[in-house]
Amino acid sequence: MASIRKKRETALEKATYIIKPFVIYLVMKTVALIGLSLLISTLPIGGLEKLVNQLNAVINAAASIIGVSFVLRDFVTEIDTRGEVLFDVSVWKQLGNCMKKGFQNCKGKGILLGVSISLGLTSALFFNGFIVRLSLSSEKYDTVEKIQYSVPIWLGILLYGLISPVVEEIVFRGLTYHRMRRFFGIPACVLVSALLFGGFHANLPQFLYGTAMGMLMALCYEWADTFAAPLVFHMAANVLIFLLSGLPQVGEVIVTTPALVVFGVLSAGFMVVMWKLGERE
Amino acid sequence: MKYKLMLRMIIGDFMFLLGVTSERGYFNFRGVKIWHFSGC
Repeated sequence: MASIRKKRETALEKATYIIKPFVIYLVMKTVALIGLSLLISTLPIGGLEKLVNQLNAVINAAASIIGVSFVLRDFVTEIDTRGEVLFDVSVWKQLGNCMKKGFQNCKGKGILLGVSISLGLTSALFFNGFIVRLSLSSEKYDTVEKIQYSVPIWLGILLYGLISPVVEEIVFRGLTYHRMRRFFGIPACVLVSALLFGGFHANLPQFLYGTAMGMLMALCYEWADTFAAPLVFHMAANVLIFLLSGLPQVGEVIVTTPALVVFGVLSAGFMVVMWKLGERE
Repeated sequence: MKYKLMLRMIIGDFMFLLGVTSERGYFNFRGVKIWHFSGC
């Protein structure tokens, strides 16, 4: 009888399996970005130069939705370990069913999700303030700041509080971290998925912030055992940072040393609560 | 030139991950710079 070879036995097979969704997302987002830009450049619209920042914000969000659509099927299959996904419906409908089922499963996890949101808010303030205090100079980050804060509040909340967290959580926690956990322990998976998440932001300030936040989001996912935990964490953190950009007076206060100590202590406290609650689950 | 910039941007994404460069490129259509970024 011929022996059946185990799937993904070698290091290369494991690495390919883990990194594939991220690479597909990155390539397809870039291709979509180029395609959308080409499309817009052919439209007979005058004065595009004046709307350059808003255009960048919207095109990037649209490109990220297109990019993530190429890994959605992997995500809904991956996240649903009971194999209840209906393959004869569109992948978007599958995602809808998956989210609906996810929310139903969250009913008993209200406190965990509340702590996850709280941790998202305090750690965003802590790491953001800490990085502001480092005064790192990055031309790319200066551009990113101009782009992301150029949009009206309602659009910013939609782009950075909804689209960006959903897309990035699917890629980095739902797929990359989830797949890594099949082969490796928690510390390695938390670190590698966070470094990938930080690296994806492609400039030093966001790399540091993204890596730190990525580690916490992966831990939230691990401890709460639901995809909703890193998702609400990410949404809360992004909305808070986006809204604070419109309040420079508040921004000056929250980067002071006493404020950072408070946010650091609160974050550590929420982490311990999250860990203990996760252990009890 | 446009294609060279596109190529630079795609390669730039991966180069950053390899630690080769810290800044990714942009490309230019009708004077509009399109950046590849992720917000917040």
